[in-house]
Amino acid sequence: MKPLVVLDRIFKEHRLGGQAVQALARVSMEIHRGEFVAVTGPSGSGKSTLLSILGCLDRPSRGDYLLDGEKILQLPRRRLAELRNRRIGFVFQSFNLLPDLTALENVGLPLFYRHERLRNAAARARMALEQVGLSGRTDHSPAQLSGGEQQRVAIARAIVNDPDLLLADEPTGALDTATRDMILALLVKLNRIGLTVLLVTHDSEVAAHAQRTIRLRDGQIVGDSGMAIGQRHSISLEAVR
Amino acid sequence: MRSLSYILFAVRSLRAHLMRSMLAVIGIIIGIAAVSVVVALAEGARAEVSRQIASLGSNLLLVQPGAQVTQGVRRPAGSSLSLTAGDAVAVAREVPEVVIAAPFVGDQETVISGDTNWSTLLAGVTPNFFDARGWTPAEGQLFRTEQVASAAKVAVIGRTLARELFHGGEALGQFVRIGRTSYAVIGVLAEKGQDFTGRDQDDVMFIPLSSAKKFTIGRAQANPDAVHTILVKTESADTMGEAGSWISRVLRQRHKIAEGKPDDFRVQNLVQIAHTRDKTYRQFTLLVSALAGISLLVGGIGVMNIMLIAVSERTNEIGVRLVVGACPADIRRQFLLEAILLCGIGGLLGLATGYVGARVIPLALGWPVEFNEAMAVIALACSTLIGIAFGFLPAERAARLEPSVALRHSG
Repeated sequence: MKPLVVLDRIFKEHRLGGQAVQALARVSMEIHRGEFVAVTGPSGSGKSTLLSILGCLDRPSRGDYLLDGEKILQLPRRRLAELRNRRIGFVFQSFNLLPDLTALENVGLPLFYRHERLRNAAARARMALEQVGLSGRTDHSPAQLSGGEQQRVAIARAIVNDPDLLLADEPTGALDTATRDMILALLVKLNRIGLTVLLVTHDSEVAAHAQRTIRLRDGQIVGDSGMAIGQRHSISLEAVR
Repeated sequence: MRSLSYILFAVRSLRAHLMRSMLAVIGIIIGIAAVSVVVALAEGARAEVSRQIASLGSNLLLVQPGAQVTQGVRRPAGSSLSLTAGDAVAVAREVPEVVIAAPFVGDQETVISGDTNWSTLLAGVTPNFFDARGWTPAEGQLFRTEQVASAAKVAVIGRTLARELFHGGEALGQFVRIGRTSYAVIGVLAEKGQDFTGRDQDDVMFIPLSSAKKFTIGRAQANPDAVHTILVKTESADTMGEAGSWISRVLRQRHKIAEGKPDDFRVQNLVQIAHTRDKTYRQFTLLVSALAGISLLVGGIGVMNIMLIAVSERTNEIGVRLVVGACPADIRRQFLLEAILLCGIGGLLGLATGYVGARVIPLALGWPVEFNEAMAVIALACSTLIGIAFGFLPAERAARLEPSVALRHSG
């Protein structure tokens, strides 16, 4: 089966005060549909940068990124927005809900930007909230919800468009252990019903929920527990060169 | 449907930052209110001037005696007695462009009727004076040439005088007295309002020129034949200049004024004078409008300021919207719409304020004001345009944000 994500020798440089900082160097990987991947590594290892590139929030400096066979590097901003809208769901450590909107409206936001009809959008948003177990909280504003509830709203927003790939950046970083486990259980459940999940964390307990763990250090992949055989081979060949 | 949701979004985020939105709106309110009041005042003044120009009658020239010089002291213009009824006849006969040349004498006199008296302008004229002005009686009739020839004791009075003397009662057939002479009221003129100097044109009493000469005004002056003004009507507006210079030539000849000596009379074009005033008004209006426009501009800059603050304060929100799939155009539209909405609301409130102002000013200051719908539409269009103009930069800045950079703002 064709991989959902192909990264081929990705480089990313950030400019900080006129100095180029290498955030990612020669990162190559494949992710297949249905995988649950954890990306770990110390802070500054390039985890978040990798997530930004995978999520079409940022473009690599060099290298190819194919999302479901489509080359991302040359796409205009409008098309990237469309990809984020239809194929990718995001979950963040700080939830990133809009404080002026209700839970239902927050969940419906991606549908609004894909020009979904209002009644249809409301129904789908309700369904997504039901999936994360929050059907009783639709009209609450984020401030009226607990951290765990807010994160569940964020997950509902990420899955409302039925994405190919769910990207989670330290989704449990701001939560207590009990809530953390609940959120992780929810992600596992979503993965079981077919959602591809990529989760960035520095918490090894969280990473343990994944089937596969990729370890980053200084912008490079230093370990991959479940890499496809062919891919590993090609990388080791590269390393030899 | 979709654009409606955009508007609802904009309304909600404006409401969420109510204080800030109100501050931004105040500038626009003041600007639009200032502009609409100034324009209403200017329109009022202009309408007033055009009413006055219309009341002057068309194609009229005024010939008046020049200043009298006694022992080296120049007395006011019109004080000499150099013009006569004969001059009027000569002007009408000699100058082909002239249709009517009507002599006029006038003086402030006290008019008595029963136990009521009223000080009014007493004017002695010939029937062609009424023709020149285009004045018609509202009641009764005007006097005829025979009545001028016989120095009949008849009077045609203005509406104000009729009201003051007869208190709304029947004026026709009544007698009014000036000094020892009584005149029968045979006509009341239609109401004409103020002239461009603000004088009430209905506070007047006309009697035949000959009667004025014989019984009142003529007796008081050194030369009983002298007239105070000759009202000249030309055949068209184009020939007024030519007629004026011909009149000068005829009168210089009749008055035997040597080459190089100054005229003892002057020819004035009333409409021209009124137009000059109108032009001055316009320039003044333009100046004040520009000042009001500047206040509107300042209001617009205030909106831009607030919107720039909003964009930087809501960078994380923009990031979130970009993450879930808003494209730059969506973000631009959102902020542009908020700016337009701010200015639109400010425009409406400013217009309401201006309307109240335009209602209050005439009561308080007595200035004429015209507040019309076209102006309201223009003011609203203006405020919307300001929203677009000053919302563009903040909206563009918001739309240019990179999603990853905007998100990092969350901290």
